[in-house]
Amino acid sequence: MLDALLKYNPFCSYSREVKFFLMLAPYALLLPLSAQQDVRPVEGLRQNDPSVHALVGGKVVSSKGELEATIIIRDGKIQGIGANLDPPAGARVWDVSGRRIYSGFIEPWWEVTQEDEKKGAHWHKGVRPERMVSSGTLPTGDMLKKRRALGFCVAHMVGDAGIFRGQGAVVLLREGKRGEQVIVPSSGQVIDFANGGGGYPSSLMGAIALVRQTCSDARWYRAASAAHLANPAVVPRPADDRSLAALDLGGRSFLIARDELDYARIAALSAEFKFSSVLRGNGHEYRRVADVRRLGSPLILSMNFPGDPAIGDVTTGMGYSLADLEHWELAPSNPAFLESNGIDFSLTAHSLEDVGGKFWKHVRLAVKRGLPAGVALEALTLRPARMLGIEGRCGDISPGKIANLVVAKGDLFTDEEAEVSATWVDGLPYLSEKEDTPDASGVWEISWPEIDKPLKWQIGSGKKLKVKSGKDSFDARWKGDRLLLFPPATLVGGEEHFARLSATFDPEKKTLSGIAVTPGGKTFWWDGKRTGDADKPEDKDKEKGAVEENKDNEEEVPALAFDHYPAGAYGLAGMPEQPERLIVRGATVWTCGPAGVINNADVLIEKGRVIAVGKSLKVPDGAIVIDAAGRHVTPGLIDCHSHAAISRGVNEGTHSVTVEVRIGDVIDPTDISLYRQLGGGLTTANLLHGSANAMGGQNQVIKLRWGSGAEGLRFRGAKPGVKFALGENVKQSNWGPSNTTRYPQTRMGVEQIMKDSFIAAQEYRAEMERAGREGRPHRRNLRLEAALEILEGERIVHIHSYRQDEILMFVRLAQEFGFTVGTFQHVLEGYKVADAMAEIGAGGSTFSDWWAYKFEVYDAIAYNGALMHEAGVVTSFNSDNSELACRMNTEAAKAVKYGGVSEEEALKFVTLNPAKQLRIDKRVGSLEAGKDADFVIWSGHPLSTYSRAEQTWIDGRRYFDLETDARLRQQVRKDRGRLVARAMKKFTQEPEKADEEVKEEKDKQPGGKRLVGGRSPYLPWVPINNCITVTRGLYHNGTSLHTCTSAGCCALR
Amino acid sequence: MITGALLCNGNENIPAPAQQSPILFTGATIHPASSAPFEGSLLAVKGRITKLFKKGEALDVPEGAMVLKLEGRHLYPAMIAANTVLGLTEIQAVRATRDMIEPGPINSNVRAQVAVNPDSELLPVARSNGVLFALSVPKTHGLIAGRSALMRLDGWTWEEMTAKASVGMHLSWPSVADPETARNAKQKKSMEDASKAGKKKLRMLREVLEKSRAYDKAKSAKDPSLKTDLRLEALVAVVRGQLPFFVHAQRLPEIIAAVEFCVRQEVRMVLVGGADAWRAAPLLKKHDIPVIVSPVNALPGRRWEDYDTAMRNPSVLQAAGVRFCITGPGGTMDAPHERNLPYQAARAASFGLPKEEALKSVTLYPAQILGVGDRLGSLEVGKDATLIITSGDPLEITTSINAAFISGRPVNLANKQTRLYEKYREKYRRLKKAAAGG
Repeated sequence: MLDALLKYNPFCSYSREVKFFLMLAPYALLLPLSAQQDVRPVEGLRQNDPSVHALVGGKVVSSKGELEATIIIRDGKIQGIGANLDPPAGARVWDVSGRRIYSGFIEPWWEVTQEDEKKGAHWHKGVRPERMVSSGTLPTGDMLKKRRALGFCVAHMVGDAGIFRGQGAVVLLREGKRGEQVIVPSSGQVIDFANGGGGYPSSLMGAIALVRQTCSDARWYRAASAAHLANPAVVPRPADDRSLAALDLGGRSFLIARDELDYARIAALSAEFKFSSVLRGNGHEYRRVADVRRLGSPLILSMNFPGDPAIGDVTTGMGYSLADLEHWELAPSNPAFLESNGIDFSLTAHSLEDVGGKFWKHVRLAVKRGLPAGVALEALTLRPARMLGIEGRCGDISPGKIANLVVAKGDLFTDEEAEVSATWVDGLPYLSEKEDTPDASGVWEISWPEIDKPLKWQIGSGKKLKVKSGKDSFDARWKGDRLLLFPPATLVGGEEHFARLSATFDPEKKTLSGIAVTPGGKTFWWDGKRTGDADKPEDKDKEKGAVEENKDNEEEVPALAFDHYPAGAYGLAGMPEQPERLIVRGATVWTCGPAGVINNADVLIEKGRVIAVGKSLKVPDGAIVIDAAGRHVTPGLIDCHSHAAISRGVNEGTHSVTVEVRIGDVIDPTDISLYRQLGGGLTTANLLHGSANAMGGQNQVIKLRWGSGAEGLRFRGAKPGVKFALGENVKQSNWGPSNTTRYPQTRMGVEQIMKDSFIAAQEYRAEMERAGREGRPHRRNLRLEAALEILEGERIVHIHSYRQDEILMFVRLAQEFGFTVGTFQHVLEGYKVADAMAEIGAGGSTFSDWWAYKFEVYDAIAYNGALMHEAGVVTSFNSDNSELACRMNTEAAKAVKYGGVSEEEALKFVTLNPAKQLRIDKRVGSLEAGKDADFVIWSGHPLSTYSRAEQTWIDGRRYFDLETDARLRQQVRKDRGRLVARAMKKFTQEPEKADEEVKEEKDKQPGGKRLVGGRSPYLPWVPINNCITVTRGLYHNGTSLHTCTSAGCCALR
Repeated sequence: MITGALLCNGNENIPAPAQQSPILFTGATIHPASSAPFEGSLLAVKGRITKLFKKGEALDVPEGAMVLKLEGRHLYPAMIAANTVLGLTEIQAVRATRDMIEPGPINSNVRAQVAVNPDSELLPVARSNGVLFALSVPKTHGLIAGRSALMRLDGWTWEEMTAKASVGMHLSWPSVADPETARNAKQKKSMEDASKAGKKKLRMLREVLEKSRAYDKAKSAKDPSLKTDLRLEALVAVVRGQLPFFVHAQRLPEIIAAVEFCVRQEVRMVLVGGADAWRAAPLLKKHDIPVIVSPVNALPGRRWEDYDTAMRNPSVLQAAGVRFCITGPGGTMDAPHERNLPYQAARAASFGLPKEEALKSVTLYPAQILGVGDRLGSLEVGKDATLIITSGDPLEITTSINAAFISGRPVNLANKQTRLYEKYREKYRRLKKAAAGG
C-alpha cells in the first residue's frame, strides 16, 4: 500500500526530478517541457520553457538525398522543414551549419530486465504473455544517455527472459515521466524458444512444444470463454487465466531466432498459428537467406560482428573452425546481402558487447561492404518505424512527426570520424557530452603587466602538449577547458624549478588569460594573444596517413560469396547431381534382398531408384557408368539409434512424460558428424530423444543428405515413432544423490506411469468425442494426443530397455494396450526374453558388444544379437554414438564373430533389419528394383576391418566419395589459408587491438529478476557438465554426446 | 577341436599351472610379428619359445612333448593393451567398483597393481579375444595420477599377475588455453580460468620435481632430518630417469608443452593419447618420444579436419619413424571394451598403415614401449611362449581366437558372456523342443 502511494504521489515524483536536475548539465533545464497532454495536477510553480526551436544551416539527410534546410520544431513536433524557412519570431535558433541532420534513429530491440512483481497465471514461469514492459521500470539516466549518444531517439523495449516474454513497448529515449516516454504501450508479444534454467523445458524441442501448446491453449481459451458466455448452461466456464487471455495471436509477434536454423522453425510455427511475425535475427541470416525470405517477416538485424580471430599462435589458432573464420569475414556483408535479397530489415545494436564503441563502426563496415548508406539510414528510421507501426509519428523528418533528430558532425554512415553532436528527442535537445580537447596550437604572445616585451611561445596540440620558448621546451596540458603550463620559473622571472600557469582559453577570440605562481611565491595575472600558426606541421598528421594505408583492404573480401551449406568445412553448393541413369558395374553386390550376394553384378539406377540388380545388365543410352570391379556394393547403412544432428538438447528429461516434444523440430543439418558418417557408408539414421525420462519424445528418421537444410534431411514417409525408456536412467539411478523424488524411482513405478499415461490418453479421447458431440470447444492436449497416436497405431514405440524383467513388463503393457513396439533399443538382455519380443513382433536394436558400463548392463553379452535373431526377432546393431556410426559395417561383423550369424544375415543387421524396424523397408535397406538408390561402394569385403567406404550414394546422388573428399580437403586448406592470411594481416598490424579488453556492457536495472537463462548457440565448446541437460549450439566439432566419461553420462545410454 | 583338449578346466576361469611338459605347436602359419609369417612349428619349453621350425625342417622335439597339430590355424603373439583401466573398475557407473582416481593433484605414490581385482569379470572377456596383457593405469582429476603396472590377465593374485611394475608415472598434461581466441566475453572468462589453472598446475609440477631432486639428494646423503614423503619418494625414479612420465595429452599445444618440459627437465617421456601427435612427428622423432596412440577410432577433434584424421595418425608417425603403438581410448568407461583392441589397429591399416605394422602396433610395439620387449610382443626364440591360436588374422573381426597361452600355459577363454550365452541357448533349445514336441 505504501509503495503504491509513493508511486503515485506526484510530490514524490517531483522531488525525485528536482534531485535529478541538479546532476544535469545546464541545457537539461529544458527538460520539463512537455508536449504531452498530462492529467496530473501541477504542484508548485508551473515551468514553461520555450518550446519553439529552429535548427538553421544544417544538411538534412534522408534516404533520398541531402538538402540544406531549416527545421522548425514546435511543442515537440516538427512544424516545418524547408530551404528558405525563416525561424519564427521567438524561436530559439540553433546554428548547425556544416552539420548533418538525420531523422532520429529507432532501436528496434532493447532488452530490459522486467520486474517480477506478480506471479504469472500460467503454470510455467516462462510463459508470461500478460507482462508489459511499459508497466515496469524503464531504463533511465546513463542507459538512455548511452543510446542517445549513438543517435537513438526511440527504442523498442522488450523483456529479456522467458518464453512468452509479454508485450514490448515503444519508448522515446527522453528524460521524463513514463507517460511522456511511452508511445506504444503494447508493441506485440515477444516469443523466445528459451530452454534451460531448471525445469521444463530443458531442451529446444521442449521450448517449441511449450510454445505450440500455449498458442493452442490461447485459441481454445478465447473460444471456450465465448462459447461459455453464449451458452453457460452447457459449456463449462474455463478457469480464468489472465496469461491466456493476454495472448492475442492476431497481434504482432516478435520471434527470436537464436541461431540460423530458427528462421525455418519460426516460419513453421508462424504458419501453424498465423502469426503476423517479426523476426529477431542473429547475424547469420546470409547462411539461410531462403528461409528468411520464405518467412517474409521484417527482420531485426544484429550488427554484432565477430572480432578479429587471434590466430597468431599456430597451435591454439587451430581452434578456429573454417565456419568461424568465414563468419568473421562475411558477417559484415550480411546486411548488404540481405538487402540485395529484398529482405526488409532494421538494424539493432542489441547483443554488441561494446555498444558505444562498436555500433557505428559496424554500420560503416556494412556500408563499406555494399549496404547502400541510404538503406542503412532507412533501416534505422523508416523501416523500424513501419515495423513497429509508428510510421505516422516517427521515421522521417516531416511536419507533424515527433521532433526526433540526430545532429552529426560528418556522415555517420561513411565517415570514420563522424560523431553525433546532438540528439533531439520529442523536441528536447540532448547535446553530446563528449569533451573535445580545445586546440590552442600556434604562436602566442604571453605578457603580464611587469614585463616589457611579451614572451613568444609556440603551443602544441593534443591533451598533453609541449610548449616551445626559444630553444627551451616545457610541458603543458589541458584540464577540461583550462590550459595548464609548467615553464621553468626562470622564464617568468622566478628563480628555480617550475612555475605553474593556468589559463582559460577563448577559442573565438583566440585569447588566453590566467594566473601564474612561481615556486618562490610570486603571483601574477597574465594574458596571451595568438599571433600566428605554428612553424611546421606536426608529425601527427603523417602518422595518421600511415594508419590510413594500413587499413584493411576491403576489396579483398569476396563481396557475397556464400554459396555452400553448412558454412565452413565440407559445405556443399547445392545438392549433388542426380544422374538420369546410372549403372554400377562388375561389383560383388550384397543385395540384402532375396537375391542374396551376387558376384560380378551390376546395379542399374534411374532417377534415384534402383531399376535392376543382376549380372550383365544392358547399359542404357546415356547412363553414367561406374566401374566397380573388385569392389563390393551394399545398401546404404542404417543406424537405428542416433543422437547426431539434434540441436540444443537431446533430452527433454525434465518431466517423466514429454511425448509432445519432437526431434523433428530441432534437426541440425550443420552437424559435421553427418559428413563423417557418410564417409563410413551410413545413409539413414533414426534420431532419437534421450532416455532421461519414461516417455520421452518423438523421433525423426533422416537421410544423411549433407548440405541440405533441416527439412531436406527428413525421411519423408517414415513411420512416426516415439522414444520411451526403462530402467536406471528413467528412475534417475545415476543422476547423483539429489534426484530422488521424481516419479518413478523404481521399475515398479515405471510401469505405472506408462499405464497411467495411456489410460489418460484413452480418457482424453473419450472427452474429445464428447466435446465434439456437444459442440463445445475442446482443449487440445498435445502430450496426450501424442500418447493417443501411439494407442491408435499411428506412432510406434522405440523403447530404451536393458533388463529382461522390464522388457517383459513392456511386452505385456503393449499387449494390454494394443500398441506397436517398433524396437526395443539397447535391449542388452533381449537374449533372455527374445521369445516374448518375437511374440509381439518387436524388433531388437542393440549394441554389438557394449556392456558393463552400468549395473543394468552387467549381463549384456556380445551374443545378444545372434540369439535374438535366432529367436525370430528382427535384429539390428546401432551406434548411439557419432563415432561408432562411422563404422557400422564392422559392427555387423560382430554378429558373425559372436554367435555365428552368416555374413549375409549379419550385414542385414545394419541395412534391411533396421529398415524393417523403422517401417521404411519398402524404400531402403536392400538393393532391389523399386527401392531408393541408397548404396555404398566398398574397397573390399564390407565386413572386413580393412575395408573403407569409397562412395556413398543417397537417392541416386553421390554424397560422399574419396575423390570429392580429397577436393573438399584441398578447398578447406585453401580457404583456411586465405582467411588466416587475412586475419594475420590484422593481427600483425593491430597487435594492441588483439589485447584490447572486451568491455562487457550490460544494461542492468535494479529489482529485475531473470526468468529463464540462455546461452549463445554459437559457443563452439559448451562444457558438458551435466549430460542430461547438455545442449549444444550449431557448428560444434562433431563430438559424440557420449564421449564424456563421468559417471552420470551413461545416463543417456 | 583344440580348445576342448586345452581348456580342460571348463568354464570356471581357473588359472592353469606353470607349463610342465614341452609343447610343440605345429602345422600352423606362424606370424612372429617381428618378421614375415611362415608355415612351420614352434616349440615352447618351460614357458619360453626355444625353437622355431620352418615347414619341412626336421623337428627336434623333446621327449614327452605335447604336440598340437594346428593345420589351417595361425599363431600370433598375444596382444597387449597399453592404456586401460582394466582391473581397476568393474562397472564404471557404480561408485563402489571404481578404484582408479585418488583426489588431489599429485598421486605419484599410488600403484595400480595393488587394486587390480583378479576376479574381475572384465579380464576374461578381454583375453578371450587375444588381449592377454594390459597396462592398468591410474587416472586423475589433477596432475599426476600414479604408477601403472603391466598385468597378465590370468592368475590367482595381483602379485602373480603383475608382469612389470611400475611401468610409467602417469601425468595428465594441464590444458593450454588461449583466452585470446575466445569468441565472446563469457568464453574468454572460462578460458582465462582454464589458462590460469593450467599454469598453476605447471608450476606445481615443476616444483614437485625440484622437491624430488632435493629429496633424492637428502636421502642419498642420509640426512637424518629428512622425513619420508611418499609422493616425492615415488618421483625419485622419474627424476633419476629410471621411470618415464607417461604424459596423457591429445592436442598439439599440450604435446609441445609436455615435450619441451620433459626435455628440459631431463626426464623420460612417453606420450599417451596423441591425437595431434602426427602434427608433432618431427619433434617426437627428434627426442625419441614414443607415442601410445589412444585411440584410432575417433572423430577429429576439430570441425574442419579431415574425417580420417585420427585413423591416419599412426601411419604418419610410422612414416616419420616415430615409435608408436595403438590402444583403445583407455578412458574410465572403456575397460569392458578392451577386447576390441585389434580393430583399432586394423582401422589404422585401412587408412594407410601397412598391415604388418598394424599387427606390431598391438603386439611388439607396446611390448617395447612398456619395456618388456625382451620377453613379449613377438614369437622369437628366447621370448615367452605367450601366444594365441586363431582361425585367421586377429585384426579381422570375423576371425575367432581358438586358444591362448601365457608363458606356455593355456588360458581359459571362457567368460561371463560365454556362460550366459550357453545358458540362454539352452532356454531356446528347450522352447524349440517343446514346440516341436507339441
